[in-house]
Amino acid sequence: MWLPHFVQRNAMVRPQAIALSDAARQLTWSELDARTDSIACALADLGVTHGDRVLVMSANRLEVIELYIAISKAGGIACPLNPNSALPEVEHHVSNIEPAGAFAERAVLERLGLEERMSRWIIAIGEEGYEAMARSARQRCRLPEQGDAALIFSTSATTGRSKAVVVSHRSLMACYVGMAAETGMSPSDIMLNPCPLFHGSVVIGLALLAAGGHLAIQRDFSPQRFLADAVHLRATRAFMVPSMIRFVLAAKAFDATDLSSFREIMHGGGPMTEDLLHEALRRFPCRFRSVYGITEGGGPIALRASDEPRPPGVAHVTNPPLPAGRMIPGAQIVVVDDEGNAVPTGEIGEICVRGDGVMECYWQNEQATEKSLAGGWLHTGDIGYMDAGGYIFLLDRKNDLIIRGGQNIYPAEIESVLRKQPGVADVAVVGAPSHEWDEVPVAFVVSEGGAQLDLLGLIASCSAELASYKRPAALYLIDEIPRNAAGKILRRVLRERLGARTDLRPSLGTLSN
Amino acid sequence: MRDTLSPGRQLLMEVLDVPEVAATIPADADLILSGINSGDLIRLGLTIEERTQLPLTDDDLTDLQTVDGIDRLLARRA
Repeated sequence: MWLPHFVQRNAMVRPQAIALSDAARQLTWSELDARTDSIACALADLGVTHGDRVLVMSANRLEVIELYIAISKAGGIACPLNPNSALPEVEHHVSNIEPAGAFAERAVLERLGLEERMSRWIIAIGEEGYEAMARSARQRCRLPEQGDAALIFSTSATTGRSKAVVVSHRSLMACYVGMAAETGMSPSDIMLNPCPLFHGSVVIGLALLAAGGHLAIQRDFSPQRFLADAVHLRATRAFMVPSMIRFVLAAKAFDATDLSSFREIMHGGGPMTEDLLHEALRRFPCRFRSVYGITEGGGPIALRASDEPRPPGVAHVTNPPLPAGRMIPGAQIVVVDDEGNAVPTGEIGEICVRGDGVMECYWQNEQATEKSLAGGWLHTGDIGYMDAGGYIFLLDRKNDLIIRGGQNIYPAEIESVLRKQPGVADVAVVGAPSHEWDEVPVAFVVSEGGAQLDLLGLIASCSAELASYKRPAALYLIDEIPRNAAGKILRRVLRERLGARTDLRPSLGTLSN
Repeated sequence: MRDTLSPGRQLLMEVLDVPEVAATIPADADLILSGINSGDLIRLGLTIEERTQLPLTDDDLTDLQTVDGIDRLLARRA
């Protein structure tokens, strides 16, 4: 009941304060409560009942958050999906979660032909039918319980097919408790939100709302609009991936922009480098805060503010990265060895977390759930250590995940698309370092019998079947994919070849560094 | 497609990881719907700012949606 609860409470406590805004409109808490009650009633009229999934596919706009709340008020589960997903990605997700219906922007409906393909009700966000729902009769529905699912996020998966992460109301409340306790989020905060609302990081915005703050939604990120809106709104907070911070610092208007309203910029979704943090602290007039989180963990699990003393790390790890943070209240973190046993302080192992924030399960995927939550702990797949002060340092990944500008990509997703193209005998995808995006996917392709391959056609096949951020930044033709005796791809060897770039044939695409 | 090597298309090719993709997009087609990553458009905007030494305005950003629009923006700043 957390989502409906905090909306109802804020509507009582501060009815005329702004809760949500975007470029087109703003809503007070009173208006948000009334509109979400009405939409919930209209959803009940459509047959939505306890536990029903409802798909939401939209670029950032105020109605996305409004829908998450309204669907919860109707007892349903909001299932956001990247509006730029390719049709096969949408079809897989829909067949997995079996939604009762869908809300989507008109452009998304038309691009995917959803109205013809889905034999369920579909409502175009922001159009008259939607607004009629928001104006319809208002009546309180039976609220969900804390353990009920509130949101199902789609995440990249090692198998190449996305998994659906079930997040409960209890998890969202745990996120609020941890974030509010550590950051002091309050009703006086205005948080600029340039990150996609379909992404797991939206829980940070929901925590800000729960604190009674104003969430200012940007439709899409551009450094120029970020600066303009920060001034216009007198924003006090923002959450960004490090790539975004780098772009904002590069914008021509930066030095002439008054950013004195900011109290704190939070960053996560990728590693923050020493150089970038140093420049950001020098040029922004506020503190920064590292947010280490994972969608399956219910969002943030560890935080560190830039004005906390720099922990020394441990003697046996030279040149440690910046610490990711210390566990937030309610998220217990341990580091374990390959057998799942906790290792002593300073020893390297896999980061695991447990607490109310952790996901309930992967939807309809018991096997993956059991593996991920083995022993009652969420296994993050991140390799690192914890020092004596409780600071987590991340060193590596246990799996092959590529994080491009905060968005997760598993190689198998791209490999499965390329492998089925004519003339492709074998393929492997690895992450290559990128100055701007931290990492980008790069594909190595072996042609069948040395046949000429249409490399641009291969890129086009990725564009047709995958969201654009998953498209390889480069394709390299090689003679053979290196594998071990068990047939497992030796990605480390490919990454080394990329680093050396001495024995790679001309191909398609460029790597910036 | 009016001009496959217009200044806007050339600039787009410069910022894409796979420049050849830019050559396949009609001049009036929405770049995002044509498969261009929004991150590439951010790079494009910052490159234009760098070349012209002027910050982009809201109107300028609206133009960064098609090759025709990029050409218009560049013409305004020429």
